[in-house]
Amino acid sequence: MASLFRNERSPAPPRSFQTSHRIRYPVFEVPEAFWRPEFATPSEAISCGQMAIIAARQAMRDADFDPADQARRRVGVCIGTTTGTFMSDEVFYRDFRERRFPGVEPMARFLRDNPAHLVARTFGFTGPCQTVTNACSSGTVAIGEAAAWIASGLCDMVLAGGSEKLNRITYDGFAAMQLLDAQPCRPFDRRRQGLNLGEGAGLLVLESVDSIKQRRARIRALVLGHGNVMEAHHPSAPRPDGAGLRQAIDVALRQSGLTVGDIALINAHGTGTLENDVVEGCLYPELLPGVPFSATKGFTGHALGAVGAMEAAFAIACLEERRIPASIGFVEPDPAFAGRPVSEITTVNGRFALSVSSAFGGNNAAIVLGLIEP
Amino acid sequence: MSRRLAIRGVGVVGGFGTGREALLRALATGGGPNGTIDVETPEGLKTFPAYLADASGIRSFIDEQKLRRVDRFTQSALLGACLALADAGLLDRVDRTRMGLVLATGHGALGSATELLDSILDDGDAFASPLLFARAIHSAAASVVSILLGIRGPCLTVSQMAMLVPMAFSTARQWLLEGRADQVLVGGVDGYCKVLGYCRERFFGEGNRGPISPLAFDEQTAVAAEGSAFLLLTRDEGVPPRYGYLDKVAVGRVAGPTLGLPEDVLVLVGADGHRHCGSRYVELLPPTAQVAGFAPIYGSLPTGLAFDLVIAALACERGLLWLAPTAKDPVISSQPTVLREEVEIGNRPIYCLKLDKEGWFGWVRLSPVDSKFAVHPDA
Repeated sequence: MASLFRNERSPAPPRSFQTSHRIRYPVFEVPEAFWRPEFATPSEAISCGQMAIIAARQAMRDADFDPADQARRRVGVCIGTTTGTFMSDEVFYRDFRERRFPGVEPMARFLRDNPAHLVARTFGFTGPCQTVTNACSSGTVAIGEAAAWIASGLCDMVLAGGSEKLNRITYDGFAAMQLLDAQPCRPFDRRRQGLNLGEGAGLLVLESVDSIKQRRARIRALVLGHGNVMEAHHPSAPRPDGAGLRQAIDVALRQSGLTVGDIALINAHGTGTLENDVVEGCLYPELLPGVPFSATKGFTGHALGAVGAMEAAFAIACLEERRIPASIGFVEPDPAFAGRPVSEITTVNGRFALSVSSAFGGNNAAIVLGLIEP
Repeated sequence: MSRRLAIRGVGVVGGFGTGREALLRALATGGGPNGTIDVETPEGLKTFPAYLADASGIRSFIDEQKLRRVDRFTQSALLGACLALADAGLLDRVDRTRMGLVLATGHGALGSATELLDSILDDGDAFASPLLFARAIHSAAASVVSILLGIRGPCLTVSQMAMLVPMAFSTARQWLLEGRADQVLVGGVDGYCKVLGYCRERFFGEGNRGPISPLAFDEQTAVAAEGSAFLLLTRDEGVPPRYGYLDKVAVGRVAGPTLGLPEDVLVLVGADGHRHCGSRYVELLPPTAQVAGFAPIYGSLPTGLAFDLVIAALACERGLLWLAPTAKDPVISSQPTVLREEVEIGNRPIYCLKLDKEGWFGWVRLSPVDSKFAVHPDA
């Protein structure tokens, strides 16, 4: 969070893989030092599941929960990803198609490293375990589903969130779809040209109130509502009228029992693509007038299936700090929509935040997060 | 509110053919692989039996033009989904704003993923196919099903190898009981492609030849398969459901010496010829359990349990469980009782159970309309 509030970002051409694109689109890669203490793996070989393990350790430490102390708890895992279950081992596949008959250990590892199962296996969790692949809304959906597991008594605790490892195939795919900005991305800005890809993991420890009381642990925040709605419009473009996103927000707000006036901030999806930002830029002034919003993808890049969970964590931190970072990259308003993200660090008052995600294929997800009453 | 769910429709496509009538025919005759696959190996070309799905029946439901950019994997998902909707009487002129979709897949659109890799390796990074990229993402099938069928409720794709089908049904159940959706289309889909055939051969060798003997737990007898299986669920409201009820789902890692199932439990085991999973059934099922396995009807694929659920639903409708192909499997001492004749269901629930080598378990319980469990689903 500190770098967000220092207004710092450092997108750069990819270092963990090479491409022959004429334009070297900037990305936000996780520094190797981030996983070095845990995995002695070169950056091109680190897996989505391994990223999730690192985030899970951080989250459990923050929750003051030792996974060795789970004997009387049913702990589940629900992790979203876009490409973490996508067979992308180029070396294996090249050898296969060139009839070099490669060994299948890379495939065995790929199957073992399914993010949710790797986390569950690493920490010995025995509850339900699910990897959600809803594209870019996966992390937000995973948190919503995990909250439902807790509410229904299916689990006492869930490690929930998202994880994503960037690779050449994803990069090539987004470049082919002409969705990448050759400059640092500019969500909601009139001159925006697309997104910058990112990677990372964000996990939350969700826990039942009974379990928290039993552990005498602190409650950092509450998941109060979530919405998950398909808009059935187009495989890769959002519905221009934002009906799906509006409905997802409606569902989340209704479940939370809050009204629009209770929401102190919005962490927007804000990718920097032409089409996405128009939808959100039109919707928020109408549906949530006056509520400040920010797009943090200017700081992190678009980490696809992980990013909704990372942004949920940011939203909680912003509520705690009572301020939101500038929507970096936003300078010049787009006359096509009335919504304007905050362009400087902005003080917010209130206990509740909305975090939203939209995905390829038309899935929209929203979660309402809140701090407990002081 | 009742916590059981009504099963209103089923849709299947696989090596046995397309639709419930094709599956019923296979159940009556014993079924088996319907084709072969060729796999190049260092030892030369090998041919294995396979259960291959023909999704061309989707053209009866969706205009050809709309299918131009839809790959085989997604066409298979679409066909299973359309068949389930049609079976439930929900295909035409139905508002699907309150319908949810949960799709489980082990391998995803692996065929499109490898085509995408081909486009990059053949032509370079700048010539990656945007169409193949969009198809290859694991959520693509659910997106296309949603778009072409106008499904506007919640949606989730589960993508993993272990317990993916029980997780999908757990999610569907949650949504209906929470009121997030009024109907949920839930099922599984997996497809075959060459790289998968190669990996299977390297992993299992001649153990891909079948015939699948699910209860010969110490033998590797798997046979590659593809297809899709869907159920259309609603809350228990209105007319009694044709296929009975889905009244409980359990998923997790085995924590004790047994699964805690009733002694006389009737179980469709998800064993599909993979030796490394088989022994778990012997260890964890009560010795008095009555078991049958139907993988020889649909083959070995990660979403096999979805096919078992359709078979269990059909058995609830019929009141009889078919003589399973496993009736011919060799008897192994101390294993549960293998069903060797047709069984009247009566009011007994059917457990569809999946176990894996890492200790994960998942089961889904279906009950006929007059079952005591249908009244007390938490029993």
